[in-house]
Amino acid sequence: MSITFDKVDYIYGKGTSFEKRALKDISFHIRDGEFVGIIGHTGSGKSTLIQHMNGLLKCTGGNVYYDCKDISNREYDRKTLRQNVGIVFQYPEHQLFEATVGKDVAFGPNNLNIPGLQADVRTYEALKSVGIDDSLLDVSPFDLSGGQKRRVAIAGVLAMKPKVLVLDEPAAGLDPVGRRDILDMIARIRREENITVILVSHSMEDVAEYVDRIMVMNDGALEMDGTVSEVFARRKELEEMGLSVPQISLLMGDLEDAGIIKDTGIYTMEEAVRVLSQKLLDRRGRNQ
Amino acid sequence: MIRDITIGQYYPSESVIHRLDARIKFIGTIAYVIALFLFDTFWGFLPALVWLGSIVVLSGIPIGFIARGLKPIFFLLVFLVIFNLFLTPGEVIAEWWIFKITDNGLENAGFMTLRLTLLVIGSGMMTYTTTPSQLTTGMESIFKPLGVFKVPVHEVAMMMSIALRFIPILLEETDKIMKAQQARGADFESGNIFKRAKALIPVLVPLFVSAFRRAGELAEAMEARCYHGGKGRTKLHPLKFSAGDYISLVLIIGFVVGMGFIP
Amino acid sequence: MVRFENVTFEYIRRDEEGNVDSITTALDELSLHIKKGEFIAVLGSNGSGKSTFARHINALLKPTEGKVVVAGYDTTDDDNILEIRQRAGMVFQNPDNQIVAETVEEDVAFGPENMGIPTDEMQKRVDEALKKVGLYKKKLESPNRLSGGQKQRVAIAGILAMKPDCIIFDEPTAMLDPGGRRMIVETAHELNKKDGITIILITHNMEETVGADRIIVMEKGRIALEGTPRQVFSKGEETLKKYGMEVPVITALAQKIGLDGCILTREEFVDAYVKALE
Repeated sequence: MSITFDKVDYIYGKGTSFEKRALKDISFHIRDGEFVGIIGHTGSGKSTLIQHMNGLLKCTGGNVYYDCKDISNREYDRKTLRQNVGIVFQYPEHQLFEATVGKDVAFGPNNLNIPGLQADVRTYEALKSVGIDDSLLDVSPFDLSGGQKRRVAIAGVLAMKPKVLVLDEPAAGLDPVGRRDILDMIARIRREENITVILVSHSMEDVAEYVDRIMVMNDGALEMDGTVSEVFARRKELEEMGLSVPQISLLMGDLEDAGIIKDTGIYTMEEAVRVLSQKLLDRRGRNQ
Repeated sequence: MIRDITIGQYYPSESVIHRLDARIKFIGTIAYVIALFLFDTFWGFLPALVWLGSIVVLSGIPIGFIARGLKPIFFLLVFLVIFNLFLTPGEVIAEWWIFKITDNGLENAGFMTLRLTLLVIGSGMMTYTTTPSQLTTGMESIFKPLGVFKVPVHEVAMMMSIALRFIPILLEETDKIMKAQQARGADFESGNIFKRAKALIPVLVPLFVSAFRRAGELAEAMEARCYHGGKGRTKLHPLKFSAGDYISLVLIIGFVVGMGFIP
Repeated sequence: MVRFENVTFEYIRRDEEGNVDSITTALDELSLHIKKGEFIAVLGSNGSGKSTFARHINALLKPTEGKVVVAGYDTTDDDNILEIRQRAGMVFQNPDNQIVAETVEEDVAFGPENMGIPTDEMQKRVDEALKKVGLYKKKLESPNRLSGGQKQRVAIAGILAMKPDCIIFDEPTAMLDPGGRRMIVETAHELNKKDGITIILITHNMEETVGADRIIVMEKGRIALEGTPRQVFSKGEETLKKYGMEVPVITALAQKIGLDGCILTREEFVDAYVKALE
């Protein structure tokens, strides 16, 4: 379903000495089925932003619409909203609490008063889609490895069957192979379930390969919003914000500066390999 | 951010009182509390009021701030007044239905109210003018002799100061966990008291797990930095008595002794 | 500086009655020598034994078998522990869980306080350490108000104030954003070059290891690969993937389009590509 922010403002601790404008006049529209990355450094307002999407925070100015309905409306059913917009917070494994993996994943469905059998089915399905084996159902979540805990925690949100899935740094603290596994898994779930996915990260590198669109937050404002290549083309500005651009982008920029290739907007490995080896082949062909 | 909250009621300033050694303020407060119980006539309040008044003026803390500190004990005060006013035997000066107000009752009520108010403001002055960490250091130094009786003074002080540092962090964490569980449909706002208490389990379990994890990691980090208890430890800012502290000490002794002579 | 001789370490898990439930071998007959002034990067997947390895250098853990010698001191001898910990400081992953005091300055002083350094000398050390990590101006602030990267630099200053010979970084950048990461890795390199401090950097981020003198790749408590970054990364994607690692992006791209030699940096890439075109 679509999410629309219209001139959203959020002021923290209004009237106290630590009053802070955490979101500044933010407007955007995320369509059904989009794969969006939200990038920004720590304290840029990313977390505040996503908490507005399921009504955990209420904006102090402007409006937030889910499926074209204003969620700040008094009559709006917030419980259903939280079911529809699932948020996986940073280090979600820190919120595990039940005695077994199965019970923990079923926490969401139980809160929605979904009848027993149906809740069980959801639990199985959710665990299956994050790649946790049935044999772990009755194991304590605290006995799992770090990567498994992370998956179980994500399953806990998937079991709500959200239509929009928001993940805050889902790969933080994992080793490179673990990172890739988690991100691949999210991309797969998105395809299979046909849902909207919003990936929050402070690293361009992770997000670039997966998402279609990037929103860049800086100091509470939505600084950029566009396709991946549109955003990466503004390399200098990104660097000024203290954000990193993918190594491939940087390298292509260097090659461009050296007058070797023309402006390409390339940021993925495949594209870079294609363009650079093609050029090598051309040159060799000419030399022969 | 939640992290910005201040623990205790410290009122930041650079006044003479703020600059005094925490130990002096602690001793002074104890002496003042004792002095408040040394007399049983209204005359005793005069020097006590002057004493407290001068401290308040010297500290530069606004009266409004101090008055707010009395809010929590307001009902206790009201209760004490009613209790003393109506239930003390003596010569009746006013009567209405079954209620009788006696002269002794009036006197007692006034006495109690004044004493309690002075007590709360007085001890409040210590927390208003001393940061929690100064207070811990001061207490550690004062109670050091208890170490002879195997009282773990340094350890207790260290625990207090670590607690002070981690309270804001744990508050923030609580907020985060609550939001994460709310995102999974948890409801903390409706239902009766039992339902609400039960709803807290998904918050408390992760919170405890996290607190223990943090404690373990912190202990490791402290050990890695050569921490081995209070033995042979030096301080970056050791407590040192200045001239002002000695003068205050003399004044405090004078005050208590003086109060002792009030009939 | 640091020497591991056939070190084995076992985590023994016991049930309620104290019977042995399971034994996990975290280090398996590990032998290694780190020279003074070296910059070592340690890689490996989660659970490969990297953290256990790090904790042995600081005597937080002691070998079940074998011997660890740090700056000439054997870690198994309890009398040596304070000497070792002063010489080999450690920066941990979570910035919040290693700061003890309520002001930056007092936290940096925590180590020297434990060592019993006299007050005048201590203030000097604290100021110097804070200047080195660029946080002198924040010395009276509460650590709670600092960013993650700044907190990690406070932790580094806290170790510098103990005048160490060696600093072990246990995934110091895992919880930081790119800006914070860059700053910590730069600080580590600077301390290595300017002050000759031996650095052992444990990380998951391949790009952070490029400037190291030597990379050690751990797997199942053993050293799986060892060598200069060039030697290690030239093993290719398939080999590294086995150990939960990736080849740095630039290196991988160079390998894929068939540029000669093992390329680590963007500059090297541009040069090599220009050459290949000629």
